[in-house]
Amino acid sequence: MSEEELVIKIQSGDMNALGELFEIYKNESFKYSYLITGSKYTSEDIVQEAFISCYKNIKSLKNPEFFKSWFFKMLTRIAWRYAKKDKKSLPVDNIFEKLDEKNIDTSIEQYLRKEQNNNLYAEIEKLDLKQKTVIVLYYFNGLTVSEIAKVMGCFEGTVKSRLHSARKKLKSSLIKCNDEYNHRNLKRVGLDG
Amino acid sequence: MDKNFDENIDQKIREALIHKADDASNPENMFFRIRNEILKDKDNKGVFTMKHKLLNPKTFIIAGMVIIATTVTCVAATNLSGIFGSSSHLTEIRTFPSKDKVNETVGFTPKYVESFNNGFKFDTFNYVNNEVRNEKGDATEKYKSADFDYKKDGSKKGQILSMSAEKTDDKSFYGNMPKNASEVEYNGVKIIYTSSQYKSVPEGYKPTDEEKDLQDKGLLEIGYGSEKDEIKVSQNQSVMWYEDGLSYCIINMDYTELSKDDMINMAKEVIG
Repeated sequence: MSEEELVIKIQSGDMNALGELFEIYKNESFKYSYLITGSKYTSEDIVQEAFISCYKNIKSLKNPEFFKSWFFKMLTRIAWRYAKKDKKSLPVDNIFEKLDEKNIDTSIEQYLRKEQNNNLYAEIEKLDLKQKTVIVLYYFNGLTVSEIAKVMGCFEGTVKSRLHSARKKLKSSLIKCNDEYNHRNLKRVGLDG
Repeated sequence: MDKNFDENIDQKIREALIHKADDASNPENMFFRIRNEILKDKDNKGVFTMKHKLLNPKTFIIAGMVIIATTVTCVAATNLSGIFGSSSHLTEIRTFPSKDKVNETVGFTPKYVESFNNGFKFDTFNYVNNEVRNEKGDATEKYKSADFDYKKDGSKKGQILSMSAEKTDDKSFYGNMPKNASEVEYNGVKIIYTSSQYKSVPEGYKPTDEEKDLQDKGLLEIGYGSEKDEIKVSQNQSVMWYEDGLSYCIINMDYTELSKDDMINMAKEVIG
């Protein structure tokens, strides 16, 4: 069954169709929420709330073919609300989550690569909420500028501008990160020698 | 910068996001919980409500008690400040949870029992999201507490026996005890007992002078945000203690047959 057909079925109250649609979007929406908020606990709440809200409001979706941007618009609004709320709070759950993270890499190469990724994501986390959302939607969810504009409810020009300035910030941090990486590699070679 | 470097950046950003997202996997049974919540809302109310509402009178007791330990006036003066807890049926677990499950849910492992000698048996486990809010209503701190509910044969609707545990430090715990508290010591742990009347009221409720006086004496707790905007009064007892960085609280709401000793004995069973 196509996505459009599932949407039409949900509009008539079909819970099984919602289940099928959930299967299609569960991972993408959960990971997206996680990248925006940085918390698995919060992401769970966000995705649950989004699907409940989806079932409640889906009749307002006139064109089923636009489901994804319609759903992500709702998901984004909910994620922003939680992210703003979490910002004011002590991120206790994040601390516990970080404790759960396992570092089982065996090679230094793998370790440094992971560290580079972590450093770059740390820079992404420093972006303001809207820049971060643009970056995640563009690079992780693979949405086009036009789709992102629909999700975020802004002009395409605004998306481009946010994308440009966010990339610029990340570029400079990547250069810095590369320098550090090279420096550490040199140091390692020196030590080995 | 040349084009290759730009492409490299694109690739790096994508890789960093994918790497980070690998940490997150969708919890099992999520759709089951979503469906249940939708059906429950349909059955009960005919309309939808969002999950994070202040739903449970029990939550207010917990909140009320902690508020007493920090500041009494803010509860009486405004609904914006204080400690607010919210839980959802979506996350309720009806099978006795393993220590790993509890740790995974709340980030710590408290002591807990499957049943008490007086006949109460485990019913549900859940976590509560708590927020400490300042006078503007902004959350200044957020934490989870573990919540174990118990029932016994013949339990009636509205009767609650619940044990909650949360991470805290001894200073906050012992800082300001309720005024009518009494304590006993067991295996080096101080068990604090209190009893009072609990009044669940709608948001915006203004306590009378008499109620404020009872609150000051620790004989009345007021919880705001009752369901259906009704005022409900119940008798409650509680035992609290602090052990290994965790505060524990067993709350009894309307099981009037339980005595002070019964409550203290339950605490002893958990302490072990």
